[in-house]
Amino acid sequence: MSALPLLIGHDRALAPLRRAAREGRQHHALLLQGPEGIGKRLAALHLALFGVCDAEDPAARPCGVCKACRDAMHPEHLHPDVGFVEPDPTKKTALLDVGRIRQVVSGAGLARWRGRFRTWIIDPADAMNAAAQNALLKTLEEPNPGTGFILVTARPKALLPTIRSRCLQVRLTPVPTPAIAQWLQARGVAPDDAQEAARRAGGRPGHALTLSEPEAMAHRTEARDALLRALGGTAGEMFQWGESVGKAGRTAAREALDLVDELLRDVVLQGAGGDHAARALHPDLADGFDRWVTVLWPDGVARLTDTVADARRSLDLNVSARAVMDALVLQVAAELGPARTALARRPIP
Amino acid sequence: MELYIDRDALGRALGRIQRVVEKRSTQPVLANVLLHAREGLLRLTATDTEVAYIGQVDANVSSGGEVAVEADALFRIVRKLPEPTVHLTLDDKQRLTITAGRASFTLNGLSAEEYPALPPFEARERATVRDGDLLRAIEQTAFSIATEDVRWGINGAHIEQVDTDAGPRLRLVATDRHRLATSQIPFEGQVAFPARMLVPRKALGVLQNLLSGSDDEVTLGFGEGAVQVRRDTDQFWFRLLDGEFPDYKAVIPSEHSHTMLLDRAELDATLDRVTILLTERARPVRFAFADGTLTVDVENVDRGKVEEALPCELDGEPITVGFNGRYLREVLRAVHGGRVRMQLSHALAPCLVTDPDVEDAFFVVMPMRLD
Repeated sequence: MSALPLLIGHDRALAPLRRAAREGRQHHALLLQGPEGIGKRLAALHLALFGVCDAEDPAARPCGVCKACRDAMHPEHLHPDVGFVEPDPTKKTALLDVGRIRQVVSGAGLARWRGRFRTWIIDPADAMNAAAQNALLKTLEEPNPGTGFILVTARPKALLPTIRSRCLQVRLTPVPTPAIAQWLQARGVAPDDAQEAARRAGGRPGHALTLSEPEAMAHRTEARDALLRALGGTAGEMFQWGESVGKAGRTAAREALDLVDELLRDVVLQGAGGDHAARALHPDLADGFDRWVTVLWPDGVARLTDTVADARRSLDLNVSARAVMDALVLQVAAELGPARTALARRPIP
Repeated sequence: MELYIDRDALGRALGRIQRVVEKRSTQPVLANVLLHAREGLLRLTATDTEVAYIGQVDANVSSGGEVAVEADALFRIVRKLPEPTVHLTLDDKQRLTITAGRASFTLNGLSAEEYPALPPFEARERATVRDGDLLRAIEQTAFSIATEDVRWGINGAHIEQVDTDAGPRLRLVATDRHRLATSQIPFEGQVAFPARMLVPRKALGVLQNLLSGSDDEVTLGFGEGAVQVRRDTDQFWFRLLDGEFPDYKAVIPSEHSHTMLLDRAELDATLDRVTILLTERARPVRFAFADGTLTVDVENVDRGKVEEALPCELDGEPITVGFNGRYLREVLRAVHGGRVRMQLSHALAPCLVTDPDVEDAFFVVMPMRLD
């Protein structure tokens, strides 16, 4: 069986890129953009494999089974012609600084290892600060023949216009729910669970896979309700929530931000009317949710979306998770005003 | 896999890996050495993806096999084994047992499948040189390789064949646009390859460490994107730079109206002293050449001034030129003889620096504007 990375739902966006890669006409600077978690990184890896796969028949590339494909897909990225440039997970800040980019630039000056085309995948590209982006410009514009870059980002606006203008911009969209459900079923998830997980995942296949495990779904509902309780509680309860999430770590803090984003998305869906509400990520909140929509739609949503984006940035820059959570819950509560108690269900005694 | 092998020979090969392969925290697999045993030989492979080492050690192999184990741990174990004969066995769970006398270690290994594949190397052409010659050529050129220049082509040393009066030579050239260094060495073989033979600075540094300065033979193999260096049973492999080296011959001056002869050590010592007063490296040192005397001076408005005179033979009119003191000193160190010859046609023209007694190297230093 092919060990190719899971990549579903982006056929239309990727088809021309695949065709070009198969014919050895890779673009030297791609910018893959789209929301978090929909498979941009896997799409980048998939495209990069075309340049290294050893399968004799070009139509069979990438095969995912030859040694070159396996080296490239190894968690440590062992194929030097498929280079991942990503923040160092052992460091507290999730930044790509100018030193890291200079390493890439000098690495891009070396001859290729054994592939036909070498790709550097910068993920997330918006982790580069301005100095790092400037250090990349010249090479991005005119790399050595047989070398290219794929920049991956959910926040293209965080990139310098000079970077964006040098790239072929490709927008990936959330994967349609039926496609995710079908894929989950193929992996052995029961149809009902697959439907539910796919709907809740908001177009993110990897997320759906996590949610398809019953504990994960329960954990998520529990985390959401804890936030809603805190929002409806006293200042002391809000800080208590901030403290508990902060203690659980940065991943928990990022999950809390995802949660707020999901709730805002549901506000937008319901606020916009029509049958969008049927696609809500948290349909079980429907009753009290109307009050949220009345208060937040549309200006509050815009402001809070910025709040969440700022909070993400702060986490990347190593601001304490607790401080970020404290600020978040206070701002959301302030924006909601009296509506903040609408969804604050108390645990059943 | 089961074999008997000499402790010291195995230790030497593992020691080379320590010197060649850089450890990277993001790719722990590369901290391993791949061991491959077959008839009468144990082959060791290690790489950091820029440099690779492939060594062979004679061994009494009773059954072949391969495994990747942590290179550093194996090196430290082998060095301290109490007996000169080492017994290696591999079980089906990729555990390597290393036994010598009373000592018996077991290292948890990785399947060879997990180790990245090295690119196949095919040498298009080969040249055999002497270890000491190659070391000299690297020492005479590596200092003027550019550091992280946006033009890839000058971030390494260029290798080519040149025809001289003494016969064909292998020439190394390096430049950072402010100075240029060339050194040529005799070789046997054929190197009619096209332009792109650029060895990165890092690879030259590694190679410099490995060479001993002896008369031993070293074989250079030039292939697609890589150069291979063989000495005895050791094989090293360096990735080349992918870029165009500039047409360096265009900057080598062919006509000179001023030729100066100086004592190399004296000039070096003078420069060492006068540059003390320079607060900025990029400021020029003033050289006033006149018949019989060179006056070197530095004037720093903030600090003060210094002037030294030293003997100089001048052929041509007196001339005053500015040079970067550090660049010129690095060149002086690379000119090995007792005397040094400097030649130029006017105060802002490239200055050719050579050893008047030996013709195996020459250097060009760009003068600086004096204001």
